[in-house]
Amino acid sequence: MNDLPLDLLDEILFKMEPKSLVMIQCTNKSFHSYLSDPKFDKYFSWARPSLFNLFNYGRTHTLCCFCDSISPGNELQRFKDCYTFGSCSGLLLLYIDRLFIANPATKRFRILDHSGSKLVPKIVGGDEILDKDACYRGSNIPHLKRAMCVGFVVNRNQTTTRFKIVCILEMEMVYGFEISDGDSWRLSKTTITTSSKSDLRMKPVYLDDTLHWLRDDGSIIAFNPETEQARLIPSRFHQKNDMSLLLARDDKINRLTLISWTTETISVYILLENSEWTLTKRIKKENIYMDGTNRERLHMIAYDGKYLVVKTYKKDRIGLFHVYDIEANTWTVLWSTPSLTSSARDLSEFTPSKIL
Amino acid sequence: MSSNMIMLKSSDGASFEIEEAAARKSKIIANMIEVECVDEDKAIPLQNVTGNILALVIEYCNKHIVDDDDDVATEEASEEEEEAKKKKVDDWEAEFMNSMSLETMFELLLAANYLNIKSLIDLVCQTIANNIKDKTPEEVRKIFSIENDFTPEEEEEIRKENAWAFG
Repeated sequence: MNDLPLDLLDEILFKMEPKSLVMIQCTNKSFHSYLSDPKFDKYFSWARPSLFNLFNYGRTHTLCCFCDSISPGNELQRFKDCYTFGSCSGLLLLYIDRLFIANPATKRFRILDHSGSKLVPKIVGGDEILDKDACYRGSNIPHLKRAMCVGFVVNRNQTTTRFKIVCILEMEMVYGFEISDGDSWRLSKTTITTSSKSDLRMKPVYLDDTLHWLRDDGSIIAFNPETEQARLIPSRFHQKNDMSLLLARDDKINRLTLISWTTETISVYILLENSEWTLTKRIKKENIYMDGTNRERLHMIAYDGKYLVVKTYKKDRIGLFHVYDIEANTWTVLWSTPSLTSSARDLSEFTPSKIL
Repeated sequence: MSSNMIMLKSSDGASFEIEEAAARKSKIIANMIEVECVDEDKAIPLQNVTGNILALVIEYCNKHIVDDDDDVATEEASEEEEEAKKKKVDDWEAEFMNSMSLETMFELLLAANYLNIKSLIDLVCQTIANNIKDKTPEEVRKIFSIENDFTPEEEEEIRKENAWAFG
């Protein structure tokens, strides 16, 4: 292999999946330094924790992108419907004309049969988005609101890996759950009844074996896919008109976190045992470089306890991704995209693994 | 298509007769034919390719020239037929590659590169890449005779950085 002309060696390496590239990199010094060349960045993007974005770009192309590499990832072919339903332990639950789970780091995938599902067809079919204004703000509500219903979890122990897909079904004040292990779909006997109607707008957050969907009033629908127990966490959060919210998990303290963004401040709340959102940090906006962005043109995408990823839109309709380091109070621009894509909230965090 | 025959001569002196259409799979030979520097009575000497490797190259070219002819003849073939045909070629290629050692693969790759046969380069590279799937660094070193020049500490560190792939 060492005697091979470099262009042929590249041909072989470019054809390897990310996990193999990592293995090659671990064999000796010359491969380690050779594979550190920027020309391989694109191939390693799946091998590093990153943000994953599936775009329906102009409805003709689907692109996978990473926030840590400037060049777009693999360009897929034209597909009408594509969604990232979830990302857990290195596996992605995707819908690109059909439902499948994929591990991009090993390039393995498994197609799932969702013909038995009552909810998935309702989520993936349906109206085309024609509301240009909504697109412009990146709030592609009809599609993405439906995609919020889906939770995807992977449970690993020493011997087995199991995954579960949970679709939450909203029926006024009652919530039901459809569960699948990838083959069969069934409605859980569990339902949960609340005393008032309040919308779900965000993807669920998985913490302590439980999926958490935030309701508009600040309360949370919690559902454990293993035990199929559900409960309403009666937390309250008064949402103001000028506020953007993001439900996230603080990985360091292992707690649910709520970030609110207003014209003046960014506030970080954590959920305590007494079911109250407690303010832990408030940052005045004047300390933040944000280039006159107003709330209509901003979306919070991800937060892990240290970094907050925000997408903003500029007048020329270019979307910019920023990373805000909350402790250091510093901003970095990651990359830019055309903002007329249905991608704003369809971004997921991605951590590589070798499952599947 | 005419079935002109061309002679190829390997570095170790073996001669092979091959259809011109098959030989044209190699861009180098195709160019030679274009500029008419091929004398019908004389073999084309290929100094960098040994006889046993050239035999494999010719086997590949012969197989694929037939397939390419088919493509022209059945332009209106249905999608299923196309798929069935593609599967047939894939199966043949899989068996073809399966029959050789890794060492042969590398020699075949160099020959395909020298003769400039893009589809064969791709096939061999993909097969070699697939050979690495699910291998540990130790196994990869063994397969490709790569010498480990990391200190144990360095190796530990690099593995830690990529813990997900080992876990």
